[in-house]
Amino acid sequence: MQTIALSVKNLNVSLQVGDAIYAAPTTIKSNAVDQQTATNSEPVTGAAHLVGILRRISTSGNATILNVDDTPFAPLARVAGPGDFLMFSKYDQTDGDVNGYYAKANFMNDSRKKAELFAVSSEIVINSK
Amino acid sequence: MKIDASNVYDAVPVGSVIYEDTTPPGKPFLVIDHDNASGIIVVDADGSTPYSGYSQLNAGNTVVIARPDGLIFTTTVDSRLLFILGGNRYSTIILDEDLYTREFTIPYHNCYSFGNGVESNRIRDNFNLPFITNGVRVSTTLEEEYKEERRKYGLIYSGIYNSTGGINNLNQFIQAEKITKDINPIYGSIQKLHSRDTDLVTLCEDKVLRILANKDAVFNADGNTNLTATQNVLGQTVPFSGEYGISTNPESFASEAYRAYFTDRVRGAVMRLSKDGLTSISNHGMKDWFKDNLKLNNTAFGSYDDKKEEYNLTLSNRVTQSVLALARSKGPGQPYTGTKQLETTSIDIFNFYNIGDPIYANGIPAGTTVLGKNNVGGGIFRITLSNNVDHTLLGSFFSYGDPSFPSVAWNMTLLGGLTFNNTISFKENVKGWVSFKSFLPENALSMGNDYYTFKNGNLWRHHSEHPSTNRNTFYDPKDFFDRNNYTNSSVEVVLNDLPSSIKDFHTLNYEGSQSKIHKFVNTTDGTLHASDPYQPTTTYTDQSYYNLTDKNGWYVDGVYTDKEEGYIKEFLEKEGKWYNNINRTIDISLEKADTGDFTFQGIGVVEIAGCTNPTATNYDANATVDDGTCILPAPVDLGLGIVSGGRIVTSGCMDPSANNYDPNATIDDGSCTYDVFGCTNPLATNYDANATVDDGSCLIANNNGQAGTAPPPDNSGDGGGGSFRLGNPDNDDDNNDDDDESEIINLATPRGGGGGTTY
Repeated sequence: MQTIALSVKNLNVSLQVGDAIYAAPTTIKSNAVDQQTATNSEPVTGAAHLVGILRRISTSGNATILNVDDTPFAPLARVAGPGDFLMFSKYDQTDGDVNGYYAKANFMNDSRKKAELFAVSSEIVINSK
Repeated sequence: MKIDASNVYDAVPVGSVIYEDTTPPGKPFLVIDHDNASGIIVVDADGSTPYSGYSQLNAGNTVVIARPDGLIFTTTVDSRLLFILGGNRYSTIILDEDLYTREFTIPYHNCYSFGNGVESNRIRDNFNLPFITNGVRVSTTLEEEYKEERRKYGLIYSGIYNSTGGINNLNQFIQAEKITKDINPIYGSIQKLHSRDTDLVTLCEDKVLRILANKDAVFNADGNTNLTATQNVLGQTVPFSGEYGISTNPESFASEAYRAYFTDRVRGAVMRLSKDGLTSISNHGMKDWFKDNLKLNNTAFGSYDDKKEEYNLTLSNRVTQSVLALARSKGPGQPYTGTKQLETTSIDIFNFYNIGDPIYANGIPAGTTVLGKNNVGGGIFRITLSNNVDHTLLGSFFSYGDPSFPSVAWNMTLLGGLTFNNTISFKENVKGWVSFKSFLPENALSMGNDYYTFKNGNLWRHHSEHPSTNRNTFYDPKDFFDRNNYTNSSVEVVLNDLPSSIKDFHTLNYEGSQSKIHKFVNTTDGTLHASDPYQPTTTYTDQSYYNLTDKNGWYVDGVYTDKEEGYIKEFLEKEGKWYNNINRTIDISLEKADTGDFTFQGIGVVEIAGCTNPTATNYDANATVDDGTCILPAPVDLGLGIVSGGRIVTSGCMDPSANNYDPNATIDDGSCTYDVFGCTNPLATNYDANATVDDGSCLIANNNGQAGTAPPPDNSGDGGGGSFRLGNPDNDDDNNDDDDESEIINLATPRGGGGGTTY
C-alpha cells in the first residue's frame, strides 16, 4: 500500500475509491537510463505508469492523502515519488459505450458450416458536433 | 596399355570388385581407393575390415576384376602390402602392369558371331535390316562451335507439328528461313507469351507487346496501318500503351476470355490487359498496399476463378535455407546410409521448424516430421527427423566430419523463414479487391466451372456445396504453412456515420447467421459474482436457455474507435437479428496507460507531507505540504511576555469583531468580549437589560396614547442628532406620510455642528 500526499485544494470530484492511479515523472534525474533525454534541462513528462488501485481518500492538515493498493501489481508497479504527476482512470467502473469518430469491428466466424452476414449496424448517440 | 600411377584410376576404378580366379571364385574384395603409385586399395566386398581372420590376395594369384561399367578382365597380382589404419586392416595390391595381353569381356557388342566363323553386322542378321553402325556423321564445317544460346530478347520457331498429318518438325530450325523475331532489348527479357486471337501477346520485364502472327502491318504514306497477310510467321511488334511489364513474375499471369492479369513487381502494380489496353487495377483502393507488399515477395502466383469470376493473386516470400543431410558408412569404402539428421547454420530455419511439424524437401520421405531440435554448438543447429533421408535422391556429396568415422553430407534446401504470404482477390464486376483469402496455392486452374488449387501435392476443389464439406478449411492433410489447417472467416466493418461528430457507440448489431455462443459456466468459486451474497454450496445459473451449450458462429474480435477500445462477448437473437451492447475495455496494464481514455484525468503533483512550521518540534525541512501534525512547544511567561516557540508574544484578544480587540496581540488569550445590541432605555417598553449598545429600537408611549420611540441617547459625541420614530411606522408602502403612522425622521446634522433639533 502506498500513501501519497497531495496539496490540491479542489480534488478532482470524479476521483473515487477503486480508480486506477497512474503516475508520470515530470523530471528526468541525472542517472536516468535515457542519457540523451537526461541532458535536456527542460522538465520532461515521462510515460504514465500504473501505481495501483485507490483504496482511501483522506485529508490531514493541508494535505490530501491517497492510499493506493499496489499489491496486485508489485513489484512492477511504479512507486509514486515527489514531483510525479498523478492521474487516474475509471478502470472497470464505467458504462459500456465506446467513444470516437468512427468504429471498426472485426467480425469473425469460427463455424465450419455455411455462414451469412448481410448487414451490420450500431446504435450511436452524438456527443458533440 | 600399361598400368601406372596416371592410369590406374581408369583401369581399375573405385567400385571395382576383384576376386581370385578359382573354382569356385575366391573371396571378393572391393576397390575403395588408390595409392600414390599404381596400387589399388581393397577391403572386403561387404565393406567390413576385420582385424583378424582377414583372407588376402597374394602375389602370383590370378584375379578377375569386374569394373562398375561392366568390363571384366583377368590379370595377376604382382605384390600385396597389408596396412592398418584406424584399427582396420587394408591391402594395397599391385597388379601386373601389362593389360594389353589380357582377355577382356566388354559390356557391349557390335556384331553377331555364330560360332562357325560367320559374323553378321545387320540387326538380327536379317535381310535388308540396317547395319549395326554409328549412323551418318555430320560432315559440315562451322566457324563457331555449337553451344547453347539463351535468347532473352527474341523468339525462334521451329517447323510445324501436325498430329493428324504425321508431321512433326518441331526439331527443325532451318536457318535459311526467317525463323527469328527479335524484341528491343530495352524492354527487358521476354517472360511470358500468351496467344490471344491471332496475336502473340509478349510480356517483357518492362513492356507488354503484341506480335502480329501470320500477318503484318503495312503503313500508308499518311501513317495509317493496314493489316495484310504475310509469309512471315511473326510480323510487326506493336507495344501496348503504358510503361508496365511483368517484371520477373510470369507466374502471376492469368487470363480469362479477352482479359489477362499480371503483376509488375518493380512498379508495384497489378495490371489488367484487356481491349482497352493496360489498366492498373491495383489503383482500385489498394495502390499503397501493393506498392508496399509486392516488392517484398519472391513469387506472385495468379489464377482466375471462373466460378466466382475473381482473379486470385497469392503473394509469398518463401525463403529457402541451406541445410546438410548427413549419411554415415560402417567403414571406409562401404556404402553410406542416410541418417535422420539435418544440420544447418541458419538460426532462422532452426526456429522456423517446431517439433511435430511436417517437413518437405526432395530426399525427405513423405510424412516425415520433426522429432527433435538441438543446438550442438559452434553455430550448428541439428534437426532430427522421423525418417531417414533418402540420400539416393540428393546427387553429389562430400566428406563431412571426423575422417576416422566415415561420414558424408549432401546439400539440401528447405523452405524456412517465411515472412509474408497472402491471397487477395480482384472482382471485375465491382471493380475492386473484394477479399483476402487464407488458402495459399502453389498452382490453380478453373475447369468445368470449378476452381481447383494445389498445395504440397494436394488438390482442393473450392466452392463445394456438399453438406459434409468443412468451410474455411483447405488442403487435407495439414498444410505446411497454414499449420492450423483451419482459418476463421473475418470481415472488418467500419461504422463511420456522421464522420465529423464524435459519438458514443452503444450497441453492435448484425443480420446474418448464428452468433458464437459461450456456454454459461456455473459459478462455483464466487469470482463471477464477488459482490453478490455468494454461497459456496449454491449453484448459480443465469436462467437462460440460449447459452446452455457452446455454439460456433459470428463473433467480434474487437471494437475499435480512434479513441477507445471495446468488446462484445456474444450476440443475442431478437426476431432474427443479433444484438448486444458494447463493453469498453480499459487497459490497466503496467506498461501502457490508456491516456486517450475519456476517464483518464489528472489529479495533481505528488507532495511530501509533513510539518512545515519551523517552530514546531517535528519540523520537516523536506515537507512541501503541511499535514497538520506540527507539535509546538508549550508557552512560557518570562514577564516581558509569553515566550512560545522561542519568540516573545503578547496575549490579548485577536478577534477584530470583539469590542476589546487588541491589534498588538500575537496570541489569543480568550479574553474577547462582544457588544449586545438592543434597547438600553429603561423607559422604553422594550427595554433590554442585557443590551450594551442601543440599536434605536426603543418604543416609548406619547401624549395621545400612541406609542413612539424615544430618541436614543447621543453617545457619539458629535453633537449631531439621531433619529427616532413617531407613531406607527409607515407600513403601507404608499410613500405618503400618513398621520396615523409614525415615521422616522433623520435628525442628523453635519458632524461637528452644535446641538440638534428636538421634536
